[in-house]
Amino acid sequence: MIRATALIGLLAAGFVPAVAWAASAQGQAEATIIAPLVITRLSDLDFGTVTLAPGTTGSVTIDPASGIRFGGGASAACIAGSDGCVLAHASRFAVRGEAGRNYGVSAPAGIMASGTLLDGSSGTAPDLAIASIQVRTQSRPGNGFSGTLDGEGRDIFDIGGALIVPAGTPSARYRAVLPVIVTYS
Amino acid sequence: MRRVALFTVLALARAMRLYQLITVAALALHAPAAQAAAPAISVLAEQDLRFGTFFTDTAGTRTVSATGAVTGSAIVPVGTSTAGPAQFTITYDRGNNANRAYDLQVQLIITGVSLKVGGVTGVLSSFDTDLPGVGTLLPGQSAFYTIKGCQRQICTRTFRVGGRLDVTRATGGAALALALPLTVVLIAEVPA
Repeated sequence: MIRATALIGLLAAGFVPAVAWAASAQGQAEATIIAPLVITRLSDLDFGTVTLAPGTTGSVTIDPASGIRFGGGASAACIAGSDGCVLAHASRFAVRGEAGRNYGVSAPAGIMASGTLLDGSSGTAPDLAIASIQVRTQSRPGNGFSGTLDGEGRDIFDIGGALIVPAGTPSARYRAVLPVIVTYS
Repeated sequence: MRRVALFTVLALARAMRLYQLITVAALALHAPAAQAAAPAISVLAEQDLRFGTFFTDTAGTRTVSATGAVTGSAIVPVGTSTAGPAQFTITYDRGNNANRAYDLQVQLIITGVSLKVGGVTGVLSSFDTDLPGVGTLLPGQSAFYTIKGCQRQICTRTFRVGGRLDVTRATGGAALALALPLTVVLIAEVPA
């Protein structure tokens, strides 16, 4: 009886064999991690000191590509290079990040500058509009708000715009905040 | 063939002791297997686990689930790179054409690794699959799964694997390619 039981057990194992084979596959997980962009302001956007002919409207345009243009009754208040004369110039930023990556610059199309009167009262002057804000990157000067970081992950871009000076604008010092955001694209 | 061999064993049983029976039965059962193709199991990696392109300041996490859902913490995706789960296919060849339904019991082991490239370190963890009943797997931890409804000689099962990537960044960036080894152990072929 014992022998028969043992034999039946072996036979059952033969019909439903227990197996244990293994196989492996070499999969892969991949990711590309890039360094974050760092932006450093090198200079502010400055329209310099401007005079306006009486009864006229004027403008000062700073084009990052072609330079400064005065329009209407506006003109520079001093000669460039003379003592105390503030030269108008574009704003300049340095960008650092992943070499070879494209990036984009976001800036508003226009902003408003608030003024402080220079008549000794420290009163507030009417706001002035800065319009047509434009960007020019050194890496891709024809592509406006887009640039490409060089082999060392660096680039520079300039920002310009047009200051509109209405007739009757009082003498004042004007300031504005220009938010600039740089992101990979 | 197997039935003839077993009858031979039964005839011999009358005249032999138990330990002799065991030896002979084992030989008789082994003989037919040598004449049929041996069962074989294999697994193929068909798609990488893709975490895409992103940047992080000093540390961040991105998780891609087996169903393709992507979440992240302290990272910013960049560009149009696509993230998605890995895909594997298990193939079992039972070695004969017997028309008999069966299930396969398998054990899965996924080994996660870490990798440092330059100033960037990536660590894989918390794998998940779209296999019903298989929960989150830690690297090296095993899970059991039954492939049901096999009928033919070849039985396959394709499934996807997601995971979590923890990244720490000291300097610069890096392209990480981490090994994702999957081992499948066939535990048993069970009649359905």
